[in-house]
Amino acid sequence: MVTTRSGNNRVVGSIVSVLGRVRNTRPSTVLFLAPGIAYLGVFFVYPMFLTVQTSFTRNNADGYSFENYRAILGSSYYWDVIGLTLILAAATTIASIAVAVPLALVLRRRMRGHGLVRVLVLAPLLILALISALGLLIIWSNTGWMSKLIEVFTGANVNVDYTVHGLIIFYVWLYAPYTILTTLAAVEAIDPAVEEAARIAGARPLQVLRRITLPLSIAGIRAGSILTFLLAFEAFSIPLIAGGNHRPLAVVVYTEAAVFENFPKGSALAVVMALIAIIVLVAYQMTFSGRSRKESPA
Amino acid sequence: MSVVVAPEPGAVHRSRRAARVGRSARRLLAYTVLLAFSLYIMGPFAAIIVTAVGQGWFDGRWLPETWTFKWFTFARSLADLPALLTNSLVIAGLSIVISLAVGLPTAWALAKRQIRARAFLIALILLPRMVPPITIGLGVSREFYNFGLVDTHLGVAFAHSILIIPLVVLIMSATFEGLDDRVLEASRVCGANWVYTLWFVVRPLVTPGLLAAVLFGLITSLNEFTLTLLTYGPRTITLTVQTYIAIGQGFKEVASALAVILIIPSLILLIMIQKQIKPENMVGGAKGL
Repeated sequence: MVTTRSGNNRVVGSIVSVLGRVRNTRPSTVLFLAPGIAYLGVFFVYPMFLTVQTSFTRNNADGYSFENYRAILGSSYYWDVIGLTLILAAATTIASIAVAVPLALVLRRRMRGHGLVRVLVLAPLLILALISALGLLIIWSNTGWMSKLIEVFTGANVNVDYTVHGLIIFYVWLYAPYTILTTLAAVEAIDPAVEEAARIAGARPLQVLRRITLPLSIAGIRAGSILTFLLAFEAFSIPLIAGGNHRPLAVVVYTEAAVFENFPKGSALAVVMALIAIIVLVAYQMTFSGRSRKESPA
Repeated sequence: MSVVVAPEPGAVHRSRRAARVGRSARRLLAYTVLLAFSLYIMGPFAAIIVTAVGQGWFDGRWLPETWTFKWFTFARSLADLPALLTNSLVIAGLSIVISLAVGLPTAWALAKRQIRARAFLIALILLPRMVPPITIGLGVSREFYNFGLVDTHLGVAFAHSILIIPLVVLIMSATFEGLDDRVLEASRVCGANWVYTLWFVVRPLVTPGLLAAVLFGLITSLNEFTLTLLTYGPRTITLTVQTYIAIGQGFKEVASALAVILIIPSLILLIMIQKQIKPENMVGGAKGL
C-alpha cells in the first residue's frame, strides 16, 4: 500500500516536472492548470472522441467503415438539410444586422426610455428559449396578434406556422440581440467629432452614415454577426418545436440518433455539423483578425 | 475689401423652422423605432400571459372571451413544480460549484503566471463553446451511459459545466488580471499567509467578477436544453425539459400557465443582472469570441 502510494506520488511528481520543463513554467502553474485540462479531457475530448469513433461504426455490423459518411454525402436529402441550415443561419444574420443598425443608431442618442430598451434587448438571452418560442408561436400563429397586425396594415395573409420564413422570424427574435449589443458597443465608441467634421465639410446625413458611421462600426457588426450566425446554425430547441417538416442539422442529428436509434449515422452527421461550424469560425478569424487590428489600434 | 453678405431675415427664420421640423420628425422616427422594438420583444411574453389566463381565444379575436385561472390548476396537476424547481436549482448549484472549482485555478494561472502556450490554451478552453452542443451531447450521453451518470443530478451538472467552465475562465481571468500585484505583495510583506491574503484581500476585490461568473453559470444551466435532453431521466426533469414536454403535448394554455410560473426566476435574474454588469460583457461569453 505504502509503496504504491509513494510510487504514484513519484509518477505524478515526474509527470508534473516533465510538463513543467516542457512548457518552461513553474510546476505550481501546471498544478493550477491541471483541473481544467483534466476536465477538458474527460468531459470534452473523450466525448468528442466517442462521437467521432461511433460515426465510423454501424448499427448492425462490426468494424469501422466510412459507410455513414458515404451515405450522408451521397444523399440529396442530407445536402438539402445542410443547405437549409446554412440558408437559415445566413438569412438570420442579414435580418439581424437590419434590425441592429437602426436600433443602435437610435439607442446611442440616449433619449428618454433608452435604458428600458437596453434591458429589453437582453430578454431573449436570459429567458428560457423554449418559453420565448411558445410566445412566438402564439403571437405569430395564423390568428395571432402579429399576423392580424400585418393583415390590418397590408391586407396580406402571412402564414408562418412551420415555414422557413417563420423559423427565420423566430431565430431573429432570439439571436439578433448578440448583433445588437456588439453593434451598439461599436457605434457608441465612435467619436461624435468625426461625424461632426464630415457634416461641417458638407456631407449629407446619409453620406455621413455610409462613409463614416458604418465603416467605423463594421468591426462590431461583424463580431455580433458571427455569433448570431453560429447560434442560428446550431439552433436545436426552436426548430424542434417550430420547424415542422423543415429540419435543420441539429434536429436531424437528434432524430437520427435518439428517435431512429441510429447512433452511428447521427454521430457522423454531428461530426459533419461540427466541421462546418469550425470551418466557418476559422475562416472568419483568418479573414478578419488581421483587418480588425488595422481598423482599431486597440 | 471683404463684403459680408447678410442673409435676409426671412431666410434665417425659414431655415430655423425647417431645422426644428426636421429635428422633431427625427425624434418621432427614433421613438417609433424604440417603441416598435419594445413591442416586438415584449409581444411573445404578453401573448403567453394572455393565453395563460384566457379562455375561448379563437377565431382571430384580439382578446379571449373570458378570463380564468383554471390553466394554472391544470399545470400544477400536470407537473410536480416543486420537484422541477428543486431539480433545476440543484443541478445549477452543482454545476456552478464544479465550474468554479475547475475554472478558478485555470483563470488564476492564465492571469497571473507566465505561460508559453497561452493563446493555444485559451483556444483549447473555449473550444467546447465553439463546437455545436449536439455534437458534444451525443458523446457525453454515450459516456454517461457507460458510467451510470445518466439521470443523476451530478451527471447533468457535469454536462452543464462543460459550457459554464469557459465562461468562468473568461470572466475570472479578466477579473484576476485587474488585481494589482502590489496589493498582494503588501499583504505578504505585512506577514499575512496565503489563506489570509486570499480571504481578506483577494476575495473582496474579485467579488463583482465572481458574482458575474455565478450569474452567467446560473443562466446557462437553467437555459441549457440540448445537453440536458441527452442526459436527463425521469428523476432529473428540469424546468426546460418540462416546458418542452408541455409544448409538445400541444396544450397552448397549460404550457403558457407553466411558462408564466417558470419565467419568474428568469425575470428576477434579469433585474439582478441589469444592476450588476454591463450588457456588452454578455456577448463575449456566448461563443467565447
